[in-house]
Amino acid sequence: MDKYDEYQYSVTIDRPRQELYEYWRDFENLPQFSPHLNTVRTIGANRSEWSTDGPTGPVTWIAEMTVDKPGEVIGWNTVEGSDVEMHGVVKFQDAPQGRGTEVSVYIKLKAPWGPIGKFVAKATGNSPDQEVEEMLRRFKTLMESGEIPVVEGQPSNQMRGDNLPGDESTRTGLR
Amino acid sequence: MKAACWMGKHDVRVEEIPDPRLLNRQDCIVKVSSTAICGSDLHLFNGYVPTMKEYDVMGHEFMGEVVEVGPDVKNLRVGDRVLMPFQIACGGCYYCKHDLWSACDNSNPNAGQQENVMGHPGAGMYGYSHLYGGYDGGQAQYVRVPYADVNPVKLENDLPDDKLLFLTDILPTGFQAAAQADVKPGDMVAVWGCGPVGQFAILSAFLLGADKVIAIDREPERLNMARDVHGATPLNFEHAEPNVVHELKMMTGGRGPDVCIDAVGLEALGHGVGAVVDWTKQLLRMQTDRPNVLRQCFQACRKGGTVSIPGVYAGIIDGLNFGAAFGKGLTLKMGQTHVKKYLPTLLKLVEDGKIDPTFLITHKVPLSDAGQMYPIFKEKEDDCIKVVMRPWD
Repeated sequence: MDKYDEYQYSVTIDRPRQELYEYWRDFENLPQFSPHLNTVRTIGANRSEWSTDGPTGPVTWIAEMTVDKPGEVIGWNTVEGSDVEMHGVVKFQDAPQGRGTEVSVYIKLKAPWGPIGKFVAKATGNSPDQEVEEMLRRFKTLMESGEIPVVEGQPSNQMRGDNLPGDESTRTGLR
Repeated sequence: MKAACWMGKHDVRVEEIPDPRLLNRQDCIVKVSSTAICGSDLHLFNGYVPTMKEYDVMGHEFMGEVVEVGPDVKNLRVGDRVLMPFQIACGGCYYCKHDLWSACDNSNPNAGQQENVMGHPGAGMYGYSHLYGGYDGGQAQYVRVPYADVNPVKLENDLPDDKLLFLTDILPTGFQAAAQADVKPGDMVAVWGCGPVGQFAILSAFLLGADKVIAIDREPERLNMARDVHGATPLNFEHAEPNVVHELKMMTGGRGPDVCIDAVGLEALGHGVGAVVDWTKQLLRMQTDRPNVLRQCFQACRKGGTVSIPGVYAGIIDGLNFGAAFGKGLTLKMGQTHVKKYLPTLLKLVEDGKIDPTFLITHKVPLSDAGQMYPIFKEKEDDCIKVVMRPWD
């Protein structure tokens, strides 16, 4: 019951290490590429407040940056009293053959409401493993192509009525 | 605007839907002047591709005029006449930078879904299911085009659409089939399937210097086209005695063709893989007759030769004679076409009059006829080989 769940994912991004590090280092950028993270607000030199929609309502936590090696690694922990217990690390390493940077994320997470919370989260399409993968995929896409592709708001989406508030396009596109 | 919408299996309808608008800063809007139905659209029409939704706009072969550009678009202007490669590329990833456009890492908003199925995701495509991104397609009056600095190919000539439209997919697809097999002067080439891609594969094999191209099909009008337009040697597989492989060997001094091109693919299966139910259905279909072409390619190809596969495969193949491919040391080449890799070369050949792709067009209709044309194309009624549609007629 009290064990952490661990998630890991890696992508290679065809951009320089330092540039990627700097974008990530500003945690307020994270919602740009994290599917279900609503806001991140800096509240001190090393602290920021993160918020997301949980299965039964908003979930917030305060993260403290614990490791910061420019161009190499950023680590953060949630502080005591947060809704979520999380330890995160992102590493940046040169990829071989000039292919850019290997970016790896490791997240240890104790989700709220234990296994039931996890089950509900999965059922509503918010499973943390997919979340971590999608976050890195979008980070890569944003860094390499300058934007994140969207389809919400197309004619067919309008006809089906699946262009609802909360679609990612409202955050990343022209709207 | 008017658009050909997928409304369910065997149900494509022209509907009145809202005009598309810019959604991202690098988007543009193209007013479509010509669009075509592709053989691979039939996989969607027949309901074999999972993740289609009602009102999805069909079509990935189209061209037209730029009518609106996003604030971050630098290379295009309103009024530019453009060809639209069927795949969407971001231009910034390793694959786009290495001419492997259909492997683009970033253009598919549903990359995660594809990654689960294939190990890695491929590029997004217009009008080709939500597994390929859920982008609205080109059988419409207007299309929203992402990464507009990367994807549209600007035209500087005033050739008619009919000579240019097939540069968006089937002409490069046929060309890649021959080019990736490294067809050389003097080669003997066999092409299974004389539909649009097969026809262009035959044309391309001759272009690269093939001595003889054997065209395999059973539809007389398609075999005749292969013979009359390109000078290929037709082989009707229904009349082959005792079988296609034997006939091919006899036509090549017993050696077998140097290059075998499968322009048929697993038509019954389609592109993608979705739910377990779909898997089961598709697997049953695969067991029946579809790996036949690939099996024949492996049997017929000369030792050390190349089998090139522009035909679409999607899932698991059962009963494939892979031992023949291994035993004969065959090289296999396959995949979605990297349209932008070949388009400039082929465009030049069209502009210089060395290729005239209009021979392929059997039906020219207004877009409003799309609903009727899908079944006609599917059943090859009226000797239908290629349908071109005008959205504004």
